[in-house]
Amino acid sequence: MLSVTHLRKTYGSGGQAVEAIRDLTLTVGKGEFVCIVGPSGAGKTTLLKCLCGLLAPSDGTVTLDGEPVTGPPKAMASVFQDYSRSLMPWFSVERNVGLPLRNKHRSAADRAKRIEGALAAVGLESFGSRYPWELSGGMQQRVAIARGLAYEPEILLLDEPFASVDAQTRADLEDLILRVREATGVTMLLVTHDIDEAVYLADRVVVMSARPSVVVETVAVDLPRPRDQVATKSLARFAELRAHVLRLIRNTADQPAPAAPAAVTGAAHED
Amino acid sequence: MTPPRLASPLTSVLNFLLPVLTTAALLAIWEGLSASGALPAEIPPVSDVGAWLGDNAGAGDLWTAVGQTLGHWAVALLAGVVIGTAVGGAMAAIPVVNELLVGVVEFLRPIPVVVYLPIMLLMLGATSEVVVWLAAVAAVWPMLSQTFYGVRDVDPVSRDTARVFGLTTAQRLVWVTAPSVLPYVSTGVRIASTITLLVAIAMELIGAVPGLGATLGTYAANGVYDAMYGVIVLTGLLGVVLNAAFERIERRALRWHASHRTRNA
Ligand SMILES: Nc1ncnc2c1ncn2[C@@H]1O[C@H](COP(=O)(O)OP(=O)(O)OP(=O)(O)O)[C@@H](O)[C@H]1O
Ligand SMILES: [Mg+2]
Repeated sequence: MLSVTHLRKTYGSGGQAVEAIRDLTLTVGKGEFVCIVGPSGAGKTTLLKCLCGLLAPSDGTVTLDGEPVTGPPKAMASVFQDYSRSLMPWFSVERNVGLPLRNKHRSAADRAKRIEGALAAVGLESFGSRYPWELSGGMQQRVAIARGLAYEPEILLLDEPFASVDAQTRADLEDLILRVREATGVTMLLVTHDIDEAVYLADRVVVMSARPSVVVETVAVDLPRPRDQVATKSLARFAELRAHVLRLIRNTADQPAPAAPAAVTGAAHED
Repeated sequence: MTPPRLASPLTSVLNFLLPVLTTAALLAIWEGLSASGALPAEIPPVSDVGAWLGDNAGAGDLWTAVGQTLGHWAVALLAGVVIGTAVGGAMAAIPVVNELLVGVVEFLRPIPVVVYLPIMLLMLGATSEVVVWLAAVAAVWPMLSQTFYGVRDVDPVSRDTARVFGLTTAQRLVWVTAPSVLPYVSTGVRIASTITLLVAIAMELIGAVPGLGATLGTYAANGVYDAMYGVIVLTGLLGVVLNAAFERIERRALRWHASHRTRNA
């Protein structure tokens, strides 16, 4: 279980200090799929960086299975928002995907199999020997996703992973992520701007306010699984949840965050 | 990125022909001025220089001198690259090292190496060691600053990626830092190579240490001007050839880098 308690993150100090996150508390249970939505600049990327131990919180704690997170935990992988810069231009697509596998799998054949599998999963099986800069933005983003999947983490953090792919590919990748999660039970924490996507994927949607951010509400998504792009999205409940999240975001986007964290409704924190 | 050159046959012929034409024109002017007597006796006609080079192309002495100079160049460059890269990298990566060394480096860097020549000659005599030491010192500075800025410029997203996926320090160095610093180091090597050759020849000349520099000095002192200019032409050629060789290696090693990329669909 990943838990964040009263997380605060301020960049810089003195006159130039930027308070990105004011007060965030949330837990992500094992095997849960949590989506985070919030306006641009709300501090979503900042939150993920604190979660994966790249940034030290200014205040509050991040714990993974009870242990405080002080550096990147082995059990976690990330798909960065800045996907093109997170791929190494000097390595082929294959080597990029295989980069984190060296320390997990000793045999080269083992690694090759996983690389191949992950690339096939994102539909790039024939691009292994290309370089990232030979691919389109959307393809690069899929390579970054493949790298996260090949690592087979217990927790996968995804920061707007489908931002630059077309609608059809996006739907395919969403379903891929759902299948992976179904098959492996990996815990997913996904940041997105797309409310439909958040509701479609998640067990819970965490709505963040504008900067300095707090949790506005955690919305439990009680849609049946397995989900289906057409069937799930035509459910009346889907439309209700979607409208509810949209309303929350609209209300918070143009208002400054309240000083105290808003009451958490919905399913909130089990575990 | 530089715009791609048009690859039509005409432009590629022109790209080759234009530099040849300007060179030929300058040589013709030199020849003409000599023939008309406008130039002093210390500047022989270019045809004499060419004739001397032709006569001596097979001369053992000349090639021995070339070999000596290349030997100085190679050892000095290697030492300069190793030391400069190590120190520059350490200064960029480890704040304490930077604080310790930055003052010394800023003080020493602008001092021309020739000022150390007298003391080196006193200590070691007119030997190859003197030339190698001084040329190596000159090569250190461009390597040091290129490596320093290269390491400072490693993309933070690449660093984060490496950290998140749990790469060890050694893996991060080899797979992330080294490749992203390589373009800077490569430029540093080309600059250092030119400087090393220049300093080596200058030190040979001033210190009368065997090599192209000393050969040049001997011809000059004895007034053998066609030979002197022949040696000058030879040093120029040496610089061009070495630079071209490094550019070739760089194009191969940095195929992935934005300045060498070719999209092949
Ligand atoms: N390294 C930094 N130094 C200073 N301020 C920063 C830094 N990184 C982010 N910020 C600021 O913190 C705030 C939150 O940034 P963050 O990138 O976390 O937002 P985000 O919710 O991910 O936005 P987006 O949806 O546009 O990706 C922004 O106001 C940003 O300007
Ligand atoms: Mg972001």
